[in-house]
Amino acid sequence: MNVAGVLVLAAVLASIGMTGVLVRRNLLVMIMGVELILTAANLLMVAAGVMHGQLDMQLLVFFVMMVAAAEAAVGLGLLVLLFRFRDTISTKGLTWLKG
Amino acid sequence: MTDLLFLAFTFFIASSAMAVVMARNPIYSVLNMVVCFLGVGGLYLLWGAPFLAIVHVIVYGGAIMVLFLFVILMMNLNEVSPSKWSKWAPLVSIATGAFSTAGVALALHGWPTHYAVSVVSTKALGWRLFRAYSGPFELSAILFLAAVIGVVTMTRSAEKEQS
Amino acid sequence: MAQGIAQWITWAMLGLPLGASLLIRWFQTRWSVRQAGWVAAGAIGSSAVLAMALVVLVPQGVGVPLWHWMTLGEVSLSWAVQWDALSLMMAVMVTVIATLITVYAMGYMAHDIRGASFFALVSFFVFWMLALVSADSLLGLFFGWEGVGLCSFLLIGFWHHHPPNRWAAIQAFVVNRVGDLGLWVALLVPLAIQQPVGWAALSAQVASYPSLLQWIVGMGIILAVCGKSAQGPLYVWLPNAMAGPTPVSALIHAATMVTAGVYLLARTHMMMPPGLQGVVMGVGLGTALLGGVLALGQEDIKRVLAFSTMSQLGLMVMACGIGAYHAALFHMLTHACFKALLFLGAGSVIHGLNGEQSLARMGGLRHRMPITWVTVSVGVLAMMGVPPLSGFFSKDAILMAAWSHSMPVFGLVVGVSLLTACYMVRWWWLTFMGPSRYDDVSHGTPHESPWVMTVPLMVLAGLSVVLGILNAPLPSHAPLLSSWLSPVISELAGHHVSVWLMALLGVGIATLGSGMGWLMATRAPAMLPGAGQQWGIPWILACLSAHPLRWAGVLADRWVDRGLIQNSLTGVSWGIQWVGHRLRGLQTGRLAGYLVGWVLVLMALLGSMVMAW
Repeated sequence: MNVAGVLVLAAVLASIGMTGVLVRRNLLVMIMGVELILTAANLLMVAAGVMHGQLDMQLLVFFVMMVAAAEAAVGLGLLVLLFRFRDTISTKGLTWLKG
Repeated sequence: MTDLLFLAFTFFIASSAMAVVMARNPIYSVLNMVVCFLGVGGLYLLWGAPFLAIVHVIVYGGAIMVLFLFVILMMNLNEVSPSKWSKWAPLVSIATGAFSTAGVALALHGWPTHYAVSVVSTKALGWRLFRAYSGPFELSAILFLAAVIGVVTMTRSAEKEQS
Repeated sequence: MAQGIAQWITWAMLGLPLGASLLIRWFQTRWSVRQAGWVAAGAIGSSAVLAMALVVLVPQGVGVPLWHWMTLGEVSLSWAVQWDALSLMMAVMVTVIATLITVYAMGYMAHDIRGASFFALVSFFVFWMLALVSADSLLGLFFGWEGVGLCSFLLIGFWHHHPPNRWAAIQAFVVNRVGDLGLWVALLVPLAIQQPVGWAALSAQVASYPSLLQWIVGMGIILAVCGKSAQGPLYVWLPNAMAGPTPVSALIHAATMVTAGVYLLARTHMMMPPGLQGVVMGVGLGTALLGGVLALGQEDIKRVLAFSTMSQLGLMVMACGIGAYHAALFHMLTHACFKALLFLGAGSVIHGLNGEQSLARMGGLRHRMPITWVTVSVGVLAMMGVPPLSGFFSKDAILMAAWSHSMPVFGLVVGVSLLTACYMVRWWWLTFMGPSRYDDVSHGTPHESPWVMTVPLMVLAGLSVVLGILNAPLPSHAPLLSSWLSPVISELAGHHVSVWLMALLGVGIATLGSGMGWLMATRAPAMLPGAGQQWGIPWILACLSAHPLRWAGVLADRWVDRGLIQNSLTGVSWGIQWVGHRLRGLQTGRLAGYLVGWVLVLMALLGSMVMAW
């Protein structure tokens, strides 16, 4: 396993996900960007497990996956709520915290 | 051989991830995401984590992305976003990319770069999970329960008001 | 033995007036004016008897320590009493005259609803005056000085429901304050350089101070004297102090408090550098002349006497300035008697005319108020210096001292004496002689005052006649007062002119002045226009002192308080608001913006962690 490659891949994946979160206005795409970041973290964790010869890291990835699933569900629920109230999932008009 | 495979998978992952972020149609984003997860699954296989690879594809690609699709299709969120890119996009991507690679370079400082891969059997994972990590395992069930109750409550009260 | 008795007598002498004051204050709503008056008169009279007892028992003087206050470095500050010839003389004078005036006030204030508290204040004043004259140090005198100033303020403003009286009281207090500043500075100098402040020690030490400090002490004392004795530019409060009841004017502003300045000059006679003694003489002489001239143009019965007091005090101060301390003190003693007499007589007239105070509406009262007329006439004669009344001997002494000093000074003193005779006769004529200008409707029928008021008049008249004996230059033995005072103060040794020549001069001055005064009274009573306003002198002084201070206050309020301080405080709050307003721009409400900020901070944190590692 080439650790350098893994790390670079994880860094690139994370930046792509971060860019998606910061630049896109569609909430769905933003949530997907967050999932990408989580995936990058998972990659790193598996690589670390291989580096040190442990399987505990893989279990940690397992748990992270579970939490990501729950979080995606809740995030989508919020998105549904937002759509009900504002009829859009664009973050362009979400300025209620302004002031 | 493994290096070649690694490069291929990396290419999959990176390009589909970019497509996720750049696609104007949300359905395209979801589908590209699935491809990305398939690539990640492949990488896991390369690194001797078969169980994890399958679970990743099933949970992420099969459950979460399907959830996304449900939401898009049920609420008709299918509209295409305007093609106008934010002017900040290049800057943000370059900045985060640079930061990440700098971090990577620092992290790799002094470490050997090649490691041997040994396959981790599902049995071994199971032994470990249900012995040492049985507590967190049970707690995660409660986590899911909380998430389910939360989402149902959130989205239900609106219905109650409507009726 | 003498020390023990002296201690008891001192405590009693000081304690009786103070105790009477507190007692009357406590019972003032339950006691009538008469009752309060008897308590006060009893206490002050007892102090008088005790003082005279001390004179008999310990004529050579005695020191009585009372209370140790603190030790300031090497200087020990305590309240102690020093009874020597000078302080005993002052004590006797103060208490005797105060007793007579208290008895008089029982009649004068009989119908005043707050009459009882008047006597509390008078007793309080007597206590402070005794504390002033008996103190053995400059510090003790300062306490008494302040106390009498306070009592003066309270008594001038006794009828405080009438606004001009309030103003007069405040003016008296504030102008006195200026003088007090001088005394304060003079007191601080020895304390600052760790020198004792007792009279004996101070007098001995001052000569060894650096010249600048000597001058500072001297100037401070002169300023204090001017404030308390209404000399120089600080005289302005005395004419307005006539707003107080007449007994107050008689007691405080004729006989006792204003003489504290002369007493101070006598006590500090060793401390004046020669240059400043000339200043003292000049100030005294100038004030004497100014007072004399202004007295000629006054319409109010009491204001004439106020300016007269100012003028006579000027003579006393001048005498101190040329070193004739015995003459000054003798004149102070006799002047206290006949000036109090004149004031009480004026009060009797005012009482008899139902409150009238203007000379223009008096006249012809000698038939209606005979006792007052006779006693006041005695006072006028004493004032003019007609032999063999006491005023002749005391004024004579001053004249001789002036002759010994220099011709110009003598000439000016003669001029002052002339003015004295002139305004006194004018005053006397306009009040008692000639046709009556009062109308019976508003003034009622003028009646003689009751016996409580006339008996003190008669006693004072008697004193004015006989007191001359005290220091008369008799051929058989040396003057009594002078020989008694000599151990304490020395006297200017001058060439003696023949007594008969001086007597002739005195009679001549009195006659000439009387004629001028009669002319003024009958032909031109309202001569000297503008003297009523004292030719704008108080206005000039106010422009020099009060108005600049007021403007300083206004500008300080406008520029510093409201301008600088308030604006800086509001500026601080404005600045904070501005910063907040600017920071508000960060709260765009846009999710992407918030996320960017969050990511930046995260990157910064991670970067710093990595850097530190």
